Amino acid sequence: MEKQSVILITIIAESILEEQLCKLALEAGASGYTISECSGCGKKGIRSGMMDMDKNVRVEILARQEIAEIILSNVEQRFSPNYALTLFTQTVNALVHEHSY
Amino acid sequence: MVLCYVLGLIAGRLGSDLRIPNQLYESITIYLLLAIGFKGGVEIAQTGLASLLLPGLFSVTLGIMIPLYVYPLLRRLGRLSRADSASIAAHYGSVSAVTFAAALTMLETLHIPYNGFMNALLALMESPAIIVGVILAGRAQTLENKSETAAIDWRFLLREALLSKSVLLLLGGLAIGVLSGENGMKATQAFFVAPFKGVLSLFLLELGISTAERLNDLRRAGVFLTAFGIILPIFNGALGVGTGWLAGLNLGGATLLGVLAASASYIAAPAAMRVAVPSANPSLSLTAVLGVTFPFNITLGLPLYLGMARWLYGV
Repeated sequence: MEKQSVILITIIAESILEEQLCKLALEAGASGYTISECSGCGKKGIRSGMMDMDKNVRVEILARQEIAEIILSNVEQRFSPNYALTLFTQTVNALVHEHSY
Repeated sequence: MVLCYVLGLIAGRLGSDLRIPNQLYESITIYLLLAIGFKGGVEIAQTGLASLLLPGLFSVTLGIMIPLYVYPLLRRLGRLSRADSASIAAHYGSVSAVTFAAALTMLETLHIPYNGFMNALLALMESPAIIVGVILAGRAQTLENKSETAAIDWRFLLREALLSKSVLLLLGGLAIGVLSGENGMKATQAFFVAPFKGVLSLFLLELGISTAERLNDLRRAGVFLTAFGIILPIFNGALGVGTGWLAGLNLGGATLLGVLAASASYIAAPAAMRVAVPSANPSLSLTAVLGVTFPFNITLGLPLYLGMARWLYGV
């Protein structure tokens, strides 16, 4: 199996943004994403995950460099000013089976 | 019931690890909304849809009016930003199903009859205020950046207003109740009616804990918002009771309309306003709603609105 060097974007955001984040990623050209529920604490307070308003999601996206850059700048632009958001990237090796990123 | 809420409050304040598991909390929400809708539907099957027309119209008007006068109040007296004012106005115009459920239980305990279709009004009053709030916020955005016209995502908004979990469950429950009628009630009474009070108590326990967490934010919200969170529901409650009287509801029905007008949404409105008006600070509105208005309504508000109705009806 081949390895391909790609960018892993991790976005931790308020769960109400889930749908918009996923749509944004796909529109930028990402081939998919992974969602998980999570909770934690940051500058905007404890996000305990109990009420709808208090939930966080972790969206992970694997994408090529140029697609990753589009996703990052779009997320920054649209959501950063008003929402609790954590955003980071790593370069990782993805195992490529049938498709490449 | 109120004692369960107080227990939650104390547990939360003392830092206990007591929490209702998230999944159960959501299941309880679904149960309560469906049960309220279903019961209302069965009643409508008996009284007919026509009886709902006038009270329905009055309550939707109330839902539209409340944010329209709350918004300037928050702007002028509270000196809040346009976005925050619009968001908070929407929360207060919309309704709280749990406060309503607690009011139903209060009336049933006191053996005070109420119009069966009141449960349908709960569903009707959920969305109008949210839509008005978004329009107010959109207008505010246009006023702030004169070059841009406000972009309101109507598709999202309508979906949120008509298909959100709470509206869908209430309306769906109503439809099921209307279709299955008295027989359906007999078959499911043991599940939807008998345990209702107990389940509601469990829900209030969790809400008590959530409220306790919000109390720390109260200082940041300030004196104005705290006073607002108590005075506004009293005014709205009186308005609701009066409207109920005009619409020809009975004593219990007018009390419930008072409760609907006085209550503020903390499920549907926060989520919708967070997406539709991102620049509004969600902790302001949630603190006012959950930290002030909800506890006030559940303890002092409910008997107060009943008292108003009793006075108006001369009982």
